[in-house]
Amino acid sequence: MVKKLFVFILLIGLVYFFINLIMEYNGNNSLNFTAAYYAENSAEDVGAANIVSAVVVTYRGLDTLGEVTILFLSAAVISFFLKNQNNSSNRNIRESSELLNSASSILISIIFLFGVYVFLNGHLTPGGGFQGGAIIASGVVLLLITKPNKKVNILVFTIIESISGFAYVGIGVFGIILAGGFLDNRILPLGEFGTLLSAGMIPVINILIGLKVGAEFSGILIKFQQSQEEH
Amino acid sequence: MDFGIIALITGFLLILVGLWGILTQKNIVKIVIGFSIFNTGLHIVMVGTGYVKGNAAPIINENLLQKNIVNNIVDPVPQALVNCYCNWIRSYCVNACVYCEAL
Repeated sequence: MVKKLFVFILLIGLVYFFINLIMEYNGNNSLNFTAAYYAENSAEDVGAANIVSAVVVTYRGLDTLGEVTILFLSAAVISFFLKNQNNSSNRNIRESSELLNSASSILISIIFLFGVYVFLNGHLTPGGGFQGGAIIASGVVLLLITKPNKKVNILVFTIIESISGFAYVGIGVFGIILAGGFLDNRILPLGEFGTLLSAGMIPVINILIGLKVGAEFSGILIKFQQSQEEH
Repeated sequence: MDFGIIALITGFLLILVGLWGILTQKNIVKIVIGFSIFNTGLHIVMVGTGYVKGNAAPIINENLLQKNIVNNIVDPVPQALVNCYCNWIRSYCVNACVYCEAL
């Protein structure tokens, strides 16, 4: 009871704080210095229509590499902790219903296609590698739900993940040699602004990030499903 | 009432709901869900602070190229930040779920 009262008082205090913040907010009328630089120069420097994608992949590409590394680290820790139990023990899970089976067989291909679309068009429309990878992983979740007894070979996901990770760092190093710096996208010609084959290396990097994130999340989810046998 | 205020109010409400969930729930999975709601609220507040009145999304099209780009888009930096930060938080959420599994 005392604890609930304490939580209530804390939340009331936060409400007071937030109301003060909202009252003081009066919008911005122009971009600040950094944002104005990105807005002015990203069309000529990077050639990507989506400025957010240009910032994430090129201007702050090293940070994105850090993000991918954090995700890789968490996937590695998870596969270390959730050890694969012996596969011989039979889990008696009821087969999913006919409705779920036929709906998922139609939906999964559409979900995968949408994920590929999102990371392929990352430099033109909202989206990018991370988002597309997460959509692909959600397709894998549907696959795991509808076919619970199927054994999935996790090696394929590991191979895809490793190859795309190496290729991402490799493109970064090629950027030092052939273009301005680490992860510079001007290795390939910038192309015509606003078309699919433009913005130099950004589509390739988005594809690699999408494959890596998708494979990592799928691997984590499959590990979760396999480790259920422990309990 | 412009979009900036709406985004701030929505985000702060989500932050409060998530914090309430973290502090009062007993089930550890529900705590992780509260954490996730809390982060969604934070992201909405971050994107909302970059809003410039009456401007479009930071994606350049033919319409924007004819005008001055700088005066017609919202701030792309908070959106890029959320793009990265979201992924970071997601991996921590997954790690928290592993803790639940291990306990």
